[in-house]
Amino acid sequence: MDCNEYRENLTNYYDNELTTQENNSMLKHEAICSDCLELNSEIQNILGEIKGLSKVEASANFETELYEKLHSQAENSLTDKIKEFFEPSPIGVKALAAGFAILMIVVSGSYFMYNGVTIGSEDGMPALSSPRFIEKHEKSSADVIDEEAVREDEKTDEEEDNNIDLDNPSENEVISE
Amino acid sequence: MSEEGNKFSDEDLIARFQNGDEYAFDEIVHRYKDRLVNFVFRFLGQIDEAEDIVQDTFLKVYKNKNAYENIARFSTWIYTIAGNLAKTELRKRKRRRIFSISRMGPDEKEFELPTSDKSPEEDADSRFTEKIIQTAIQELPEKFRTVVILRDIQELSYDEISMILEVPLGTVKSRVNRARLKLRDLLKAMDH
Repeated sequence: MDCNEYRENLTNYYDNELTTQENNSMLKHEAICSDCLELNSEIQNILGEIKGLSKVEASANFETELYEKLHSQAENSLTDKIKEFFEPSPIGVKALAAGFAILMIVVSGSYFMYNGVTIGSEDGMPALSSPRFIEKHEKSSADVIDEEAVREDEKTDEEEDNNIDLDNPSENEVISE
Repeated sequence: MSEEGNKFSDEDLIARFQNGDEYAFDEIVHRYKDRLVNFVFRFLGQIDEAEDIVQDTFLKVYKNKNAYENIARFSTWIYTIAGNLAKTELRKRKRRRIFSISRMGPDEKEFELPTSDKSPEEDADSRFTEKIIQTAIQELPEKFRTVVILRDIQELSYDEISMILEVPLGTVKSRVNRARLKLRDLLKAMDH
């Protein structure tokens, strides 16, 4: 065994992972090589010092700080989700705005058409030309005409009733037929 | 849950946490905070940074609890997260150092050591030794530093280190050997 082989086998030597033959070769090399023996001794000292290093521990407020961070992260995550909901992508915003505008036009158009309110009318009174106004007034006129017609019919019926010959019903039936 | 929690393995705890048991997370924190702070402190040399990184590690565990699958040991998973965060911090620090090196004075505090209960003389001696060893560990190339800390300070098995670093077992062993030899050279150069 040469010095390089000895150096390469050191860790397995400490871990007792060498075969008996390899182990004996290491011992034989140490006996004839003072440099490798010294190297072995130095490394064992270093490993002892490393094992003796103080164990650094987390500070007393480590967990408090951690849970504060967790709490604030959870809050931020919730805020981000709310923001994401209200602030979609720029394309989404435009589409949403366009959709809203179209909806407003349709809804307001329908409303004005239905109520007859002209845009710009300060008193908010129905416009005379609005279909609803016309419809309303046409309907009223028709109602008046209908009422008059009904009244005239009733009058005629009464007159006819008065002319019926109660003494001769068969004649009346023939007439009515 | 602390006393009761001891009867659960790490893998049981993370499984309970995945099923909504928040106390299981508390137990994980209780179980791992000191060893992770020690691990990251030995890696970076700054206790405040180490604590921040370990807190970030637990935040990641909390947020990504379902990313853990019971195919590896929980310890290897959490050490991997902490190790990756520590390495990222180290790289950031190297970049910052490029810009601030001209402003560094001779008394620049590279690392801090925790207080101990030893006598003033013993304390001074051990602090000196610790500082030298810590300096030498930090002088090691990153891959050697990681294995020395995981094997010789954290005392993890080769299997665990192999899983954390995602390198074959033989590579871990050879890396540990070379890291120890390198550490010895560095300490010798520092007259230790």
